[in-house]
Amino acid sequence: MSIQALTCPNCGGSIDILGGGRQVVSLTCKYCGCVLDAEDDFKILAQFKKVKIPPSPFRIGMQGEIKGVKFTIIGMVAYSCSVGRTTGEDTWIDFMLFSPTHGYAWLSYEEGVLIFSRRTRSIPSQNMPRLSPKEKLVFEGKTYKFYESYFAYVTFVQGELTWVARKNDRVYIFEAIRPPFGLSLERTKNESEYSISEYLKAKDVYESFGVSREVSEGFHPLKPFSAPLLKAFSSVSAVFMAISAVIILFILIYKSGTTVREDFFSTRSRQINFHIDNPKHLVELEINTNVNNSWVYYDISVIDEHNEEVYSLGKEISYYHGYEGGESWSEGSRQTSAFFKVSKAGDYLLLFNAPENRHSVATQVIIKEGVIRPYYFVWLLIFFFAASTLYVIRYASYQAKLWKHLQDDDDD
Amino acid sequence: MIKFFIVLFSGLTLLSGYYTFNDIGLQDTNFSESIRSGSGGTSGYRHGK
Repeated sequence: MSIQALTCPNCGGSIDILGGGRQVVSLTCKYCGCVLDAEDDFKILAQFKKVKIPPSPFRIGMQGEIKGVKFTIIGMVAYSCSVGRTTGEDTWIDFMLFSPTHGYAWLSYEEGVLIFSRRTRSIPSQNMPRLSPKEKLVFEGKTYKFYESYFAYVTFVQGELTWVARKNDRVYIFEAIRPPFGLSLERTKNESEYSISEYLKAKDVYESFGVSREVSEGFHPLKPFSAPLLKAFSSVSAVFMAISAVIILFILIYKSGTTVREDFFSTRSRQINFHIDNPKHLVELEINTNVNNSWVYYDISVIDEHNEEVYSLGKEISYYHGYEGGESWSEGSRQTSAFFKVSKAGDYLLLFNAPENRHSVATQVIIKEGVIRPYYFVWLLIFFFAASTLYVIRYASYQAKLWKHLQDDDDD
Repeated sequence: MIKFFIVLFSGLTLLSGYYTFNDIGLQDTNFSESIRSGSGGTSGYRHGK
């Protein structure tokens, strides 16, 4: 594409003509801001006085490839929104793109996010201005959700445009989203135009247009939710959560031990004989009592065949309950367990002694062997459950941010 | 990335299995003589009830 030179009739500054196709009707002088009529001998139509160029990494004349088509930036229009728009910054820039083979398109720049848009002649089946947020809208077979509507005002114009843009020209914009795609209706006094938009990976566009400056991306409704690392973490966690649950169930059903002795007594001391065949796994001592707003403390010893103490333990069992301040309360438990191992199979003696107890307590003792405790898998299950919910929580947070303006509207 | 998490979590699961089926850390601690013979072992206020 060749660049020709023209002189501004107002300030005499040179105006680059990028040859942006037959539909270009206005040019803007980058020195004095005069908008010139390209169809009528470059007469002055309007002027943007003392308006600074909005900051962006693009400038007119840059060339690059978007979706496989080589475009030239021939013009730019900066907008500022007023009432209604609640997401993003207050200003953004639409760069007009031109390709001799593919015509005109727009590259919108806002908070580092790049959106590619093209006009469409198709019209959605529903009337966009009558839709409420989140209401569904079908367009060319795709379902969009109505997002928001707002007024936007032209604040700055530069380069070649296919219409005459004046300062403070007002556009009423209606937007529907289907990230990374969007459908928008721009309505002015004279016309209504629909556009299809698509979120672009900024890095690719910057590289193609030769932009060296990295710009961090902000939030944009067309930017799809993406957390691949978290998704992988949560997905794999969900699978392992199921595996942990199956292992716990297996242990509880098949590895909870075999009862080798059961005894019941109401005395302050007791000797219980039992035999262990499977010393490989734990022996469980289950103690059930009838303590009621009281406690019992047992000294427990396990004696082997050689009359040596192989295990000793002190266990307090206490259970208190009552009714106070309109509420029932309880603390402690009537039941407790102890787990220990013996080194070999054989006969053992269990000694119970309650030296401090004034009253006898009805006590049931159940001894089990070959017990496996799923303790570690329970913690693993909790960990995997928490990990598997992280992605869902993050997605819910994204959705909350996406539709935050609805909440704000309700608050207003 | 998925493979990394699969390997990591498989390792955690195997380690848990090893600890579980070898009863590592799952026994109640052997009660020491000094505590057992003293007045401790129960919380003091309970004795008054």
